[in-house]
Amino acid sequence: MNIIVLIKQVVATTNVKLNPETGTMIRDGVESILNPFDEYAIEEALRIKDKLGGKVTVVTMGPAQAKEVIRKAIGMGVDEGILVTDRALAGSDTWATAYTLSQVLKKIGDYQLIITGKQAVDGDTAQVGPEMAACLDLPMIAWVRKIEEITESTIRAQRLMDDGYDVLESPLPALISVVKEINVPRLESLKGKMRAKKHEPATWGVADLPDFDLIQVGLKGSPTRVMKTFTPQRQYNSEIIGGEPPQAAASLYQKIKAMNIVNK
Amino acid sequence: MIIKTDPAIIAGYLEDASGFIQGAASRLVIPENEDEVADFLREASAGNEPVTIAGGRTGVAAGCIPRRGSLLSLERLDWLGPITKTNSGNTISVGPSVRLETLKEAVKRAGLMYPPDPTEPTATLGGNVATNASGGQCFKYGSTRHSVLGLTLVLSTGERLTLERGKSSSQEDMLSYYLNSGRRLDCPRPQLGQVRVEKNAAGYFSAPGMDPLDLLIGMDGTLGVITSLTLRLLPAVPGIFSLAIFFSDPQAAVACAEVIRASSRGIKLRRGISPASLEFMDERSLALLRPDFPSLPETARSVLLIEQEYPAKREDAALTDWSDFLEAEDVPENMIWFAETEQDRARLRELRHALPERVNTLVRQRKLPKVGTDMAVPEDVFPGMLGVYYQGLEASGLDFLVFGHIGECHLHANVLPHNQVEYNAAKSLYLRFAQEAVARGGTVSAEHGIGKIKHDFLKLMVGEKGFREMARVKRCFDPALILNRDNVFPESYLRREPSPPPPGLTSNRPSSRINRGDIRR
Ligand SMILES: Cc1cc2nc3c(=O)[nH]c(=O)nc-3n(C[C@H](O)[C@H](O)[C@H](O)COP(=O)(O)OP(=O)(O)OC[C@H]3O[C@@H](n4cnc5c(N)ncnc54)[C@H](O)[C@@H]3O)c2cc1C
Ligand SMILES: Cc1cc2nc3c(=O)[nH]c(=O)nc-3n(C[C@H](O)[C@H](O)[C@H](O)COP(=O)(O)OP(=O)(O)OC[C@H]3O[C@@H](n4cnc5c(N)ncnc54)[C@H](O)[C@@H]3O)c2cc1C
Repeated sequence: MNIIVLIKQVVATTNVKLNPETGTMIRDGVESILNPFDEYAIEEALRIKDKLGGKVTVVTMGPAQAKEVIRKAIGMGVDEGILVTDRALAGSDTWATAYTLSQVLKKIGDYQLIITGKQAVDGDTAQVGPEMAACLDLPMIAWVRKIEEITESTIRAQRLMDDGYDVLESPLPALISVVKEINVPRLESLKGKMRAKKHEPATWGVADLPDFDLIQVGLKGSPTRVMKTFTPQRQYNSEIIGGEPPQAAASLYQKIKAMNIVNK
Repeated sequence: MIIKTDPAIIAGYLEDASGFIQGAASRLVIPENEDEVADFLREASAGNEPVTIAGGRTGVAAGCIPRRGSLLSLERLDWLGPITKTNSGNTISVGPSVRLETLKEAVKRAGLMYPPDPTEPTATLGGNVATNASGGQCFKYGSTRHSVLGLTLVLSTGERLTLERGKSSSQEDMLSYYLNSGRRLDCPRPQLGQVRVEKNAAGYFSAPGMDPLDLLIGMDGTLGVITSLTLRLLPAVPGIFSLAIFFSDPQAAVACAEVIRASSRGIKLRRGISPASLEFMDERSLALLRPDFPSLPETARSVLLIEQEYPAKREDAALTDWSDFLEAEDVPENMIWFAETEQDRARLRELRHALPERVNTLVRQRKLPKVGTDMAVPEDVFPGMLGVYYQGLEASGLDFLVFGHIGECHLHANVLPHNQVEYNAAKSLYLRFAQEAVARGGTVSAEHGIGKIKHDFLKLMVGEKGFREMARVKRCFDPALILNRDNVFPESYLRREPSPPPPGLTSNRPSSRINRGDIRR
């Protein structure tokens, strides 16, 4: 089975800084790591490969330094990596990203399963996977917490829901996004790390993608408009109720009741 | 100086990580500076009031828990001095209650490192020095002792002693100290028999030709209050990676550790094989971890965890050396985990730290203390000692696991008793192991220390004579015998020696004899 895993390089901090002019993320001078959810995607792909054989390829779209996350994936045991990078892609939003990645998948052609992370921890939209499934006209199972069964032509998986999970079955090829309940990602192996250090991923630009519509990508091709970015102000109002515990408790109860939170 | 007598506040201070529950103190004293420490101790000596010193209270041997008297908490002495460049490298001076993690962070920002790495980040440096603490990288860098270049000690007399490593020497069997007042304090070097291991937290340090400073490292607060420390810093290491090396044979990790140790010590070099730490977990340890770490290789029956440092631009060579070595040792690729980023190394550390935590959870469930060894033996006798552990443990039918610092021949054999009978069996097994370790030139406690709870085991090592030797040393430093009583050796050795009667007179005051009996256990 040929499995494609989509991976993204993200900033290591949760404290993302935005450029107030363009609404885009400031990436200079911050340490980058593999999107943690994508580690689960890689792990799941490697487990399927262990069972069914085949090949695991990772694809990332990003600047040249995104090679590092491909190397990390190679260290974990992935066979190949493709870096999609081009000046024309700078400023792409989720739609443009999903479009580009779909064109990459069309060029790869021979795959049975695409796995993405649930979401990227910096952009946080969780849109790229579903948008790609739409572009490629593939069935999608989002938020997979367990693959119950997989063969060369079908997959049955548990989709995490707020109140439990659904079991869905789909023919392949299909796209799934995975949540962290699905597995425990492996560390790199020593040999893997050595291979990874030498690995030069294939690098594709827009010129390498057949029928590529440049209008759909870059800042201009991105329908998302960032109107305003700001850090939400948190407000805390507190009142400390003093006195002896029984009186304090009674007074607290009256206040909660006055707020209509309890009505007994 | 802050003095508190509120029993509720004091109660919060009567605990460390030992589980010892017999703590009591009439007041809590918190000095703000060294002068206050000195004044307080002078008064306590005059009033014959026992004083127990508290640092971070993370000790595992109840060293900082008083049975009575005053508790002296050094928490306010937490100044961090500047980093000083000297001809022989960088040093830093700190107050005794600076926490290990605070120091590590501060020197890291300056591109330096403080090598000792005992696991507990909130322990204080005073505590680390008083217990000669050691961590995983002790394999390469030695215990805390090796990083102490000097200190100031306030004696119970209120006198101060400032010492620098290499600045004073000892005569044959006499250690001479020049107090800051100019008074010379002569102290016999304690005769404690031959311990052939470097990593040792059992009893006073003693070796022919020793630096007098070394007596004060690992003394468990019995000789004075450390009020300032000068520590050796090293340049930060450019790169480090960790490996978990799994073996499908339960014994293979031990055999491989022998090869790695021999290479690290320069006995039989294997190119590039000189890790900073070398740790081991056996089959039963892995079994205990498996539910929480389902990704552990299914066939793994033993594991070594190593950390390898490498110079700038030498990562490729370091990786190749380990890869070649492990290939020669027949370890398959999928049995070697690599971790280099902070996140990945933290995951490997988690594996290591999860083990004692799992053990503690079981202990709580079974409501009986674990019985865990802390012995280290010389390298040449280690395989024999390991045989003793496993034969004894397997024959006993008890629930056990073995893990720890195999680099320093220092493994923790932990028994988890289900009931009192098993607990007693474990205790007698422990005693036997301790005897075997001592007979081989080992120590009964390489890391955890003796404190108030392991006198019996130290006795196996140094005997009653050793206790008397240490009490003699204590008397030189602490003539009122007030400091950290019952630490290292039993209080009963601290009775006042009757001063020899003046010539021609016989003593007619038997009272000291009666007192002696009172405090004997
Ligand atoms: C106006 C605008 C301009 C932007 N300009 C830039 C820019 O110049 N440079 C830039 O890096 N980002 C830019 N972004 C952000 C970028 O569009 C998103 O980060 C990206 O589309 C992924 O969305 P997300 O982070 O929410 O990922 P999610 O949709 O949350 O990610 C889900 C999963 O999709 C996959 N995935 C997501 N992104 C990628 C990727 N790039 N390659 C491979 N797989 C992926 C992963 O498997 C991931 O787990 C811009 C966004 C906007 C709105
Ligand atoms: C989770 C955990 C992990 C641990 N891991 C390790 C480990 O890897 N290696 C290890 O060696 N230990 C370890 N320990 C034990 C403990 O952290 C060490 O013994 C540490 O050195 C104690 O420091 P402390 O500041 O907490 O000292 P305390 O517990 O307060 O005191 C320890 C002893 O030192 C004396 N003392 C403290 N400060 C001074 C001073 N300034 N002058 C004179 N005497 C003083 C006290 O009176 C007492 O006798 C661990 C403990 C825990 C809870």
